[in-house]
Amino acid sequence: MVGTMALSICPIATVDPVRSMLIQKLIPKFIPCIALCFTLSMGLFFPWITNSAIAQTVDETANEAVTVAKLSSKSEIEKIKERGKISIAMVNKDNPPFFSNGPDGKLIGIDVDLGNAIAASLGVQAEFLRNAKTFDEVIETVYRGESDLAISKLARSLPRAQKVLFSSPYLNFRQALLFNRLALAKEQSTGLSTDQVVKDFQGKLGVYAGSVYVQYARKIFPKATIVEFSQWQEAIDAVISGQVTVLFRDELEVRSIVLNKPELAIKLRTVVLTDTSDTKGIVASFEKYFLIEYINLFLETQDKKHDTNQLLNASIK
Amino acid sequence: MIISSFSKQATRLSKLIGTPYLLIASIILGVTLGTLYPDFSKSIDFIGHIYVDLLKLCVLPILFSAICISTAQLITVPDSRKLIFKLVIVLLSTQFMAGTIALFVGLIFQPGAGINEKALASLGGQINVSGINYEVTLNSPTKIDTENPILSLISSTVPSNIFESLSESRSLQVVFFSILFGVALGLLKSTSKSRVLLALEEIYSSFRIIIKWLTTILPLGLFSLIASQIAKTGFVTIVLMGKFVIVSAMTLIAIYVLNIVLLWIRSGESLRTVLLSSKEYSMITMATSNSSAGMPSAIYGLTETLKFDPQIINAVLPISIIAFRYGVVTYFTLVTVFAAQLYGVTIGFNEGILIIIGSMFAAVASSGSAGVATLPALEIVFKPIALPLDSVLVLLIAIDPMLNPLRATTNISAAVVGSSLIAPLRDPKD
Repeated sequence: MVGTMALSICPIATVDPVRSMLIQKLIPKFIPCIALCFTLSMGLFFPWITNSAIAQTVDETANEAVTVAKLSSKSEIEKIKERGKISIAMVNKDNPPFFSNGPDGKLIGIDVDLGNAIAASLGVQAEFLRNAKTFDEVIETVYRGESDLAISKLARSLPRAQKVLFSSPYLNFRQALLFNRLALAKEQSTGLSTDQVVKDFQGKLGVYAGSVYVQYARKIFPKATIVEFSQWQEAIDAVISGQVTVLFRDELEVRSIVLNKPELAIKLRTVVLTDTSDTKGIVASFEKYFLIEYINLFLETQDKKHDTNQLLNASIK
Repeated sequence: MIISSFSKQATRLSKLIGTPYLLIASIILGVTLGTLYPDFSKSIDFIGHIYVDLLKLCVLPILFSAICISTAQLITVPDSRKLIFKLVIVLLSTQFMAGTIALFVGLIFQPGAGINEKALASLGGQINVSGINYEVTLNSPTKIDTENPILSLISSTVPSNIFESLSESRSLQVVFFSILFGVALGLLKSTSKSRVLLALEEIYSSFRIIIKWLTTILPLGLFSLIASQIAKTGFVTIVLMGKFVIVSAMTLIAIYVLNIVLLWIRSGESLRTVLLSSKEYSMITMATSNSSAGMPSAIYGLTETLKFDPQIINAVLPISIIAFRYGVVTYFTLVTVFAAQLYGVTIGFNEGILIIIGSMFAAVASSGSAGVATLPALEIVFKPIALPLDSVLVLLIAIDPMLNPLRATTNISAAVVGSSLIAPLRDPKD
């Protein structure tokens, strides 16, 4: 455990000169770490060394490592407090009801409220950073350390989790498809059921570029031709005109399209994939382990929890 | 003395009740009440329900006895094969004509074209309200639609238990059983078979009398049925689908009128007599939206008022009511044209033929079901020309209370004309 922790901290120290202080602090800690490894291997080769002795050594070493981590993260939260503000990255395109510019030009939405509430709980101001064009770019922003957090309806996915830390989910959606009814009927004219068309989809499938659905689509619909749209509205227009057969995104986005513009319900059909999930989390860079722990506790203690149907009703204009 | 004067008054009363004026008055009253006092109209719904139930009560016994008697007698007639051949030819040619008329009406009047944005939004709202958000579970056995509707119709026509078919009013199965039983009865060499036939005839006549009673109170049934139906109909959708509703209603009425004219020419009677013979079954079918309910009256009209050969009519009319579904063919063709226009799909010659033939198949496949239950058979027409059905179905269900009575009435008038074309007129010397 200590070994892996030490290893994971090493590369940061080399890329980030600010962290060189940290590594100096850590070097003495390597000694007990090596000692532990030695003891463990001794334990394998010399069974007469008692188990309790090993356990004691492990405990002591772990405690020391935790203290180090605590020290570093405490300074992160302290730094934020000293600065008096916390920077939160967000996609620069409006995505109501999560984040959008209100009628008076003020930023509003669920994610904005959440960011402000976290800032308030720390006693600082929230500063929203809206440079990233796509969801993936927001992840990059946090990865590069340009912002403390990202709250931008970000889906928790494995490729992303290799770069940044995710909080526990604050929203949970199912994945959904939005079919052009006429194009779907064409796929079905050979006698296929809707189930068959969905499970073995082979036509053109539109996704929002830089969203997690690009990977989901490749995984769930390997035979589909995936078309990426940089603007969500472009994607909607494409499915209305039949340029693509289907769009793929979370249930809320998909269903709110036909609920908000009922005339589209004649042309478009929603299909929800019941055994899928798309959880949204708050993102921090991977060394801000305790900030994420703090946010997890913050989310846990929140009374107001959102669900798809409530958000759908709220999104109907 | 007292008794005779009483019976005289009763006849006068029943004559008064039977006048078309009273029927028209009850329709007008029903429409007015249904529009102005929808809640009250819904509360008197039960009267109409009882009336329909009483009518339906008579359908199966009449269906069974009429078909049995006539097939048993017909089987001994040498030209029975010719009769069946004639029936099939008349059926196919007239159905195709009805479909062609509907197709041209749809192409000329374009019920599905040029619906404005606001109306489209309201229609879409209807679809959203009905909540047809489809769900697929990726890790579950895939649902497959492999069932061929025509094949499943054929297999569902043969009953395994005739009492089950009777108790669930599966008229197709009852007809199949009655024909089978009638043929077997007719082929029996035993002399005592006439007793069975006689008993069946008595059953038939008794139920005819019950129907006669029910016809007397038709204005009451008609009034309550129409009032509650008007009150229940979704007016918003009717207004939005206005053009389609009007075009469909007009086409169905036109084909009904055409049928009456054909019957007039065929029977050689005066127009007044023809109208009189059609009045009863038309009214009953319109009020109940069920062409089987009008069958006993239709048999009576054809054999008593119009003097067609009762033996043939008794055998052919019940089958025709199930097989001749002009109303459905017409409606299905119009719906498909409407949907194609709504979705901007152009209809060429090939699609046109495909729609008419598809509608004929779908009409057969939906026989045995009435009302809204008829509509899912549209899939047979929609699938080959790749039109989406589920969205259109929602809209059709909303307007169906308005069009269903007309569809049923057109169906039965077609069955009447079809049977009259096959059956000879009774020898005047009889």
